[in-house]
Amino acid sequence: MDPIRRQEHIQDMPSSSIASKLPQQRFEHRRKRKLSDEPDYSTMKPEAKHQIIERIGLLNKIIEPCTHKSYINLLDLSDEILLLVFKQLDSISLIPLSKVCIRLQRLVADKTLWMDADFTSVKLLTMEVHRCVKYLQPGTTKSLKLRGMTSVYPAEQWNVPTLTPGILKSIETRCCLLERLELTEAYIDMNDVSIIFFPHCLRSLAFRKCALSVQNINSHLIVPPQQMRSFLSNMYKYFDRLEELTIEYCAWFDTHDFMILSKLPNLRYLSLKGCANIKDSVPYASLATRFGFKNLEILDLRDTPISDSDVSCFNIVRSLKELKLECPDHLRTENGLHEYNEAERLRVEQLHRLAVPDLRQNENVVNDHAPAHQIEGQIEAARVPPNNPQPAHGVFEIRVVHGDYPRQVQGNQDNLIRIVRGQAGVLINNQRVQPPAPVADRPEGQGSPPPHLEARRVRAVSPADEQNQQVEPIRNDENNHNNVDRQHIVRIINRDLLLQRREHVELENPPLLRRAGDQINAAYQHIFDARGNNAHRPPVLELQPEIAAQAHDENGPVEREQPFLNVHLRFHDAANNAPVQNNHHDGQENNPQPQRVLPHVIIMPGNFPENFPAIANGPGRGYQHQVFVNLGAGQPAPNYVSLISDRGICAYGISRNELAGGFLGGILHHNFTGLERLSVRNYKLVTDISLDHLESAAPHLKLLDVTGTSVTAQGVRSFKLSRPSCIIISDFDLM
Amino acid sequence: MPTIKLQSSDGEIFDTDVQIAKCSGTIKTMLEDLGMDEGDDEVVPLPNVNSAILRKVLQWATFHKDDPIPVEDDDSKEKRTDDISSWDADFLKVDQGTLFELILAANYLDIKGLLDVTCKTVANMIKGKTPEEIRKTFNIKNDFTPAEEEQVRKENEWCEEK
Repeated sequence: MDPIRRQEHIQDMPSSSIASKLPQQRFEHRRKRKLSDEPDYSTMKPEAKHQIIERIGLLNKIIEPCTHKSYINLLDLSDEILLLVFKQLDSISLIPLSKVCIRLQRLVADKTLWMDADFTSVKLLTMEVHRCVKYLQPGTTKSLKLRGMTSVYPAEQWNVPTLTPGILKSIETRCCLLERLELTEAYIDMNDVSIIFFPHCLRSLAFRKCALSVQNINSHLIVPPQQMRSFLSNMYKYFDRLEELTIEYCAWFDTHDFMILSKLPNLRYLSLKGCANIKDSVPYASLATRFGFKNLEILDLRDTPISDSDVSCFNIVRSLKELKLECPDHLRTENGLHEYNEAERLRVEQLHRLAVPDLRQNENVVNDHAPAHQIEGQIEAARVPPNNPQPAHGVFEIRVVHGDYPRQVQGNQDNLIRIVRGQAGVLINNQRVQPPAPVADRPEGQGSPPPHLEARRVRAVSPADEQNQQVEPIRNDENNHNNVDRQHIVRIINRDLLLQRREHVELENPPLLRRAGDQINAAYQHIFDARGNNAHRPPVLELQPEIAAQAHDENGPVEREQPFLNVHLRFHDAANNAPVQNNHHDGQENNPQPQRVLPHVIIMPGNFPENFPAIANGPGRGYQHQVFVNLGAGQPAPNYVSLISDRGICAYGISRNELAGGFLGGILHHNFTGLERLSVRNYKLVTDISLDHLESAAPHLKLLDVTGTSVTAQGVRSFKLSRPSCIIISDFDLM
Repeated sequence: MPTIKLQSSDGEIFDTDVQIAKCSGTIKTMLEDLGMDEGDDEVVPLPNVNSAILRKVLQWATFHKDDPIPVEDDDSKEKRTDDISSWDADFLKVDQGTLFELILAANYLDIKGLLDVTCKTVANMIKGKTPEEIRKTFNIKNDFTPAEEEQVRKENEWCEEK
């Protein structure tokens, strides 16, 4: 504003000069008057008022009482000044302001006030978001922040989405220059909205504590199968300008989303802080980092239960400059760790139980192919009538990966054994005199015709092909002690499915499996439900049909050399139509101490009707799900949680010592990590070994934060000495 | 300590430390551009600021003369209005008119810190109020036509409920 204008403003106020001539008053006197007269004092925010009152007595510098009295009005100020004031307001406060009078309405519409629209001071309903968006001035807003209702809603009322396709559409049309969109505590209905509805021009996108709806996978008439996928799916096709992506404290982020994110061409900053589900991300993260994340510079994985192996995946991202790791609060104590471990164990066991009914249903398939004499004895075995209503996604595919597959199994392009159940249907009760206590809504009907179950496929690959199999990059080798955490990969990809299935599951599912035909069930029972402490005995997948089914002696010792001779599960190629046999195995009756092992289980939605026409025509069209079961050498009573240790840190770069070890030639290109800033906080398993490693392996390191780790003062000192240019932050700074 | 004489619009002359006076970007520029040196008895006229306001401004500048120069970073700036120091809050316990005049003076004299804190104080008076409350607080007349107002009310019901 030019001085002339300023002068005018002052001169617009004739009262001021008069007021200034008011006689001087005593301080005490004035204070009394002020309390009664001054409108702004009484209308201040409570905190501010409190602060003021608190500080009155503490004033070390007495403020001269102002004797000046002026009568100018807010509207006497010029537009420029008013805009200066309004710039201090968040977008929510501007809205009522625009309703005060015509002049203010015009002022509030000023473009400069809406460059950074921040509505986060209030939790917004759908309608309110809609109205807020209407205030955005066309073509000016660069940054938009919204806050939804999830923090205040009880779970059952989560039906007020923060964003709808309509709102997103109007954001996109109004804010053609939008670069930054931040959603906090937003609730998004996945059935309506996916990531591709968001404005594609975004450079920065943030989801904080956002919730997604449960995908309504039952209403397959409404929801096209294409939407049965991750919220983020196909993101990379549209967001080619996206540089910063923040998904913090969002439970819906899952490890497979790494694949999508890795394809974002310009992604520079990625924060997954507090996403509890990125644990055990190796299968996806290893692939994603090898082929994607080409421009990723900053990665924030703080407050997540990740392990060394997860972190190590990112050591091949050449562009990575900054890595932030911090142990979640609840895992810092022994007790918290134990609790979490227990919770994970329960979760895994629940998953196993959930998986069992489908496996039991698979026994129909087995029966169809089983020799008659095996079935005869089972005829009277209780056949529980169809579990109605079954979810529409009742078709399951069971893939057994990471097994030692024999030649007999037909080679195929993927290292999988598929057992496909065609129809949601019959639960077989195995040799139980009494059927399992039926679920309340399930009608009892023993003579009901067995459902039509048509497909069972067993496919697997030769070991050579296994090299290319990337779904589960875990090897069966014995020296897995280094990768202990990789052994426990258990992921629920679609937990909606689990939620919906929960009610259909009999938790008192009988583990009584005697018939030779129910090998799958037996294996599952053995693997999943067995509880015990035979720690050293891994479960075994036996695929050689010529080995006769033999009772498995649970208590017998197993040699490490041939851990696969414990036959629990046999698979035959469906093409040969060979009968499938199995040891019957009763985990709970015969053996008081069965082992507990943890297979790798992945449940995810799958679509492969073209391969299975019968399924495609069946009731579960398009809603097959796959269960990935890793029946490799199991890990006994495992630790479900492993925190970052020196191993994870030492995966970054190769230190002098390792180089001295010999294999210098082939790895020259990958000697050092490009990390410039590394933050590893509160991991007790990180010690001086990491410091020693980083000292030579991370030559570009400028900032290292090892607060709360087990490094010693001595280690910090020697690091400082050898790397004076690198700032190191540790517990010893204060000493 | 070198001083400078500042003259308010109503003729009062304030003998001020140069360092304090230089809180004002306007005076600072003036001194630098005009080459006014210490010892000059020249008076700097400030025709837009009356003596009462100038006294307040100088009081503020005296207290804040050692403040670090605020760093300009528009990117990461968050809109906070609750970070007013207690001294400032006390200092600004004045009537509305004075507050507005302080804003004008701070703007004219180009004192960023004072402008910020005064604008924030006014913003705090606006925050969280309904349109009607704002009108009352600032004595603003509603000049919407009834039809317009009806429209406004319809659109804005949720704001007033809050």
